[in-house]
Amino acid sequence: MGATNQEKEVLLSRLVEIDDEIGNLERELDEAKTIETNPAEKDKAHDVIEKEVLNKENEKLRIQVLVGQEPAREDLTKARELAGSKSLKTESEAILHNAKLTTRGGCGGGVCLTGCTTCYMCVKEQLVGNVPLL
Amino acid sequence: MLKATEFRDNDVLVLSPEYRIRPNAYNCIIYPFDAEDASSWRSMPAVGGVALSLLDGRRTNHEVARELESLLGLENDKAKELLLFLISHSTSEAGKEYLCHYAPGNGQGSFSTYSTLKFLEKLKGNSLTDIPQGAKLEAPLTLILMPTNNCDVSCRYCYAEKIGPLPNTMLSLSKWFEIIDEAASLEIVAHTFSGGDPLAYPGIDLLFERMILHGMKFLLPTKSFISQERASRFHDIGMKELVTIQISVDGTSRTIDELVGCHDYANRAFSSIKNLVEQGFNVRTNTVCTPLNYREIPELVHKLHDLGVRRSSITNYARSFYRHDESLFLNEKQIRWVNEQVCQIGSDLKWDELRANAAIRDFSTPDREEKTANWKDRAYCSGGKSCMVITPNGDIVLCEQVPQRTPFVVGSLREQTITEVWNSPEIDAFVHPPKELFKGTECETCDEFDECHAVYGRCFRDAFFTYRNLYTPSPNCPKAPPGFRMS
Repeated sequence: MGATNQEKEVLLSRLVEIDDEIGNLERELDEAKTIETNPAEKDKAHDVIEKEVLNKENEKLRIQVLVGQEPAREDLTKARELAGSKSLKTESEAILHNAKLTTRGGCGGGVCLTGCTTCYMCVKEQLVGNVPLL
Repeated sequence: MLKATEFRDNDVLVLSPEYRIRPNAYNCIIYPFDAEDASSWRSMPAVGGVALSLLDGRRTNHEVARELESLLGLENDKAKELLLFLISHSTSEAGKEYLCHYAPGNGQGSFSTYSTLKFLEKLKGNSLTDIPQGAKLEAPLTLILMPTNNCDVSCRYCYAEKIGPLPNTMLSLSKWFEIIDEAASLEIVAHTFSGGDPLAYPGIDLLFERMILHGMKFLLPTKSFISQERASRFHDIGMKELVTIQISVDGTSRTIDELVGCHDYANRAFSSIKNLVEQGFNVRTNTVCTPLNYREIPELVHKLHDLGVRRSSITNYARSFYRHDESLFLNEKQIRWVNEQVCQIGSDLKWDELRANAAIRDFSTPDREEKTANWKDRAYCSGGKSCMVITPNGDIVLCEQVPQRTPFVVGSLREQTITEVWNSPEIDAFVHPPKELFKGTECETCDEFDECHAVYGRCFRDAFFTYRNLYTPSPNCPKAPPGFRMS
């Protein structure tokens, strides 16, 4: 469910706060870079602050996802204009006549991690070929 | 949800949550929302995608047909035929149905949607033909993410090179955030982690959280210990719905400690599984069988079943380029024993997702007839077509097992975006190298050279691993010289 307008206002004001907090952390990071002379300590400070910043970035994204959820049915006015401009209207029948259904398994990489060592043998997925359409 | 098999005016059709659509230049592609299966994408005419985008769980078929009339200028019967086409497309392959009947307000699960306007905005126009399988897509469908090559175990069968990069050249966590944000904007939403063990990368949980917030699905294979606290944190950041965690475990006794280079590994793995299952995670396992551990498989499988593992794969040792040990191959009798035992236990326990796929793949004594038959049905390589791999320092390679250096590196996310690398001439030249580079090999005079590279691809990994030369046929090619036993 999307947020109500009142909830959205609260969330949006929190977004502004988070931006301020990120700004502060970034300043803190700059200071640490200047003050700290020991390279190991400098890296440590950088890592800690970087993680805090990224944590805030995640909080921001979480709010943006919540606020951005659109429960209403999509308005298709602009979609109609676009469909017209892309010549979808005139050729849709011809396209359907030409449609073929073909799939074949592939080595997606990473699958060897999951125990797949026989990729030449397990993907004999049939070609579906032409299917009568219209 | 009930798979859609027929058209009725008042039904509401929706796109299964297990599938996604995306415009791709002049077509619509539909693909399993899962990193492992996404390479089995299908294409359809753009208008099919427009129709799918109208399936928002609110419109009846009759209403969708009316919208199609208005959007595409179709007569009503043609609009209905378009929906019938989608149903026949959806049901054309058993097990790959993507359209479901939906009863709004009936407490049913979620479904996938795609904004009609966004679909049309991204679409370049019409195509009268399908995208051929094996063609390069406008953007990758999946990424293999390798945040680190580090790992806290040392498996004798590991296929990863596990070298470098130097800590100061590894991508920072904030750079990984940028990469994931760009992937989200490109609608690349299914990923596989590899490496190295991803959990060995400091701060990785924040990246997981970012990916979840973007609605991404990913496979997380690990041998790291997952404590109750960490399992709980994974749960709290929403990983349960979108992440499959795979724990690798090869036996029940201390014998496997020697195999994985870690003290009391089996109990550590069982604790991780228990902690994850308690949090409701979909846990699966992978087991590599060698002569050292294969006798433990029956006991292991029962244990995994009792722990609540959802899916378990049992396989046999496969040749590793970097640390191969011939003594780890199972012989035919051992392979048969493993497969039979697992099959029997799966049947006794009624565990459908227990799988044993131990097999010998041997190119050292080629059977040309068998090779020819298998060659025609070979899997196509998704590297550079629908997938690419991001290594710990940001270099891009097209297979997670190849060395992470020249000539395998086709770009770098340190200096380029995903789109720039994907559209670069380097990636195309790697996938389809000039024939001149194959001088003196069977490929040089092969009539199928262009088709081989443009359609299914040549397994450059096996070619390099077998002949120490990237520009040779892969050993499964009927024209290739004898290679090695691979598994």
